Amino acid sequence: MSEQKRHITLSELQRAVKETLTGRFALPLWVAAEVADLKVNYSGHCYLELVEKGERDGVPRAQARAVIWRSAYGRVAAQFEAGSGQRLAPGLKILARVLVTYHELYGFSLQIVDLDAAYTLGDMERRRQQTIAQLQADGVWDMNRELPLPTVVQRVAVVSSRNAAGYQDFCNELKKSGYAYRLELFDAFMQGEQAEESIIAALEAVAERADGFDAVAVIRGGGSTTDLNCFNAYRLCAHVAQFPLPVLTGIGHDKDTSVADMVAAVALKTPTAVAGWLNERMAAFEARLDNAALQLHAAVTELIHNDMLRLERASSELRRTAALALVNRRSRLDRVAADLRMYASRVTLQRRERLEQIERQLPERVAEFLRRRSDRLAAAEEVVFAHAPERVMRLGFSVVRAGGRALCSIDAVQAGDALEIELADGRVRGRVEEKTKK
Amino acid sequence: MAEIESILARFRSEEMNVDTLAAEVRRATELIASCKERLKRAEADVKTVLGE
Repeated sequence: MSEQKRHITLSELQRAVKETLTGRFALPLWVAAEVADLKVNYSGHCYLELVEKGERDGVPRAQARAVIWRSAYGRVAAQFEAGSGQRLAPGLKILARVLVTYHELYGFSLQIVDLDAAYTLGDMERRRQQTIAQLQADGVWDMNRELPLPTVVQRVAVVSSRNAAGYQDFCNELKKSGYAYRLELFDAFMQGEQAEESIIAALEAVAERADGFDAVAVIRGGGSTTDLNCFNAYRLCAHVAQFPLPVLTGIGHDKDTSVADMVAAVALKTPTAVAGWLNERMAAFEARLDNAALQLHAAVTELIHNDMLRLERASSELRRTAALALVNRRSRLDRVAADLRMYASRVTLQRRERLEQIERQLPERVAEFLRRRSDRLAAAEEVVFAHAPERVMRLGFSVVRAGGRALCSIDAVQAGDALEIELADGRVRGRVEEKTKK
Repeated sequence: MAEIESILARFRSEEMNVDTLAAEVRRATELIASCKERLKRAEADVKTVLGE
């Protein structure tokens, strides 16, 4: 049987630890940590999980449970919210005034008796600045604001929470305008721990159908106390900055401008303001249309008026020209008629003179003609008279016939042939005695 | 007149024998007489027409 070793009981140990701790940490002290988890239970006590993460890797270095008793919770939470503009929530870095406690049954715990809102605010601001610096370093800072905004922003993807008052305000304000918007809600958690990832998921869903929308509105109602952290978070802001459509924000705060607001194409304070902005843009476009219609009307009226003037001028010009042309033609016609009369009378005169000339010459011509005929007849008569046989025979010529035919050659007769010789005053008969050729 | 001229042409060409000659001369003489008569009438007509 071995000798029993010296020992103390668990409770004795616990008591010793507790006494040591209480002695060592008698007074409250300020501790910086991050809220990893937070629950307010039915009894009104607030239980937290505090953590300290590595600066670079985010790996927890230390962790501890903490509690704010119901008796302090109301005051501490209200002061924190008022001072930081934030509801106490996981993800926040806090500076807490704590009492170190140790309980035999529940172990190590920190009892928070106060919070320094300024520290949280400073941390948020630091993170905000980091996000800004990172986005600028990425070269995406101006990207969304440089996107061209359609003249008419009509098809709007809305990233919001279906039941949020802000979303209803937004819809009502648009409806009031009477313009035909085409809205599509992409439901997302707009606050709480899941907000950032939820909003990013909604934005990604919109981006997949970017062609179907003119812009995306990220809206969230609520007071200034709601937490803005996710809208300063790098990942969400990087999504907004690089979003393929112009982003309109109406995140519902008026204290601070979030980084998301800074990178968004159009940043407005509330959902109602976003709706108002859309309505104004529509109204401006409508006014431009109205103005264009007026100008068109004026221009057309002027054109018509000018054309009518031109037409009138042209028609009076036409009348004038026509009258002038008519006068010209008439005077030309008159001239031609006069010329014609003159020409006609001249021709008539010429013809008359010629006729008179002919008339004068006619007797002489006729006489000459008759005289010529008479002369020719006389000449012919003379020739005929010269040929008359009676006259020729009286000159001593006679016609010798043989066998009833007049002889023209000695070859027509033979010696001894009977001959009949005709003279002017009678006939002689004889015979051929001899032929002598000449 | 054309006939007279053709008879005269035949006289000039001497292609006429004595027997036909007498007949041609007679024909020509008749024609000449007829022409003279017509000429005389024409002269008288002309005188009447122009004299009016």
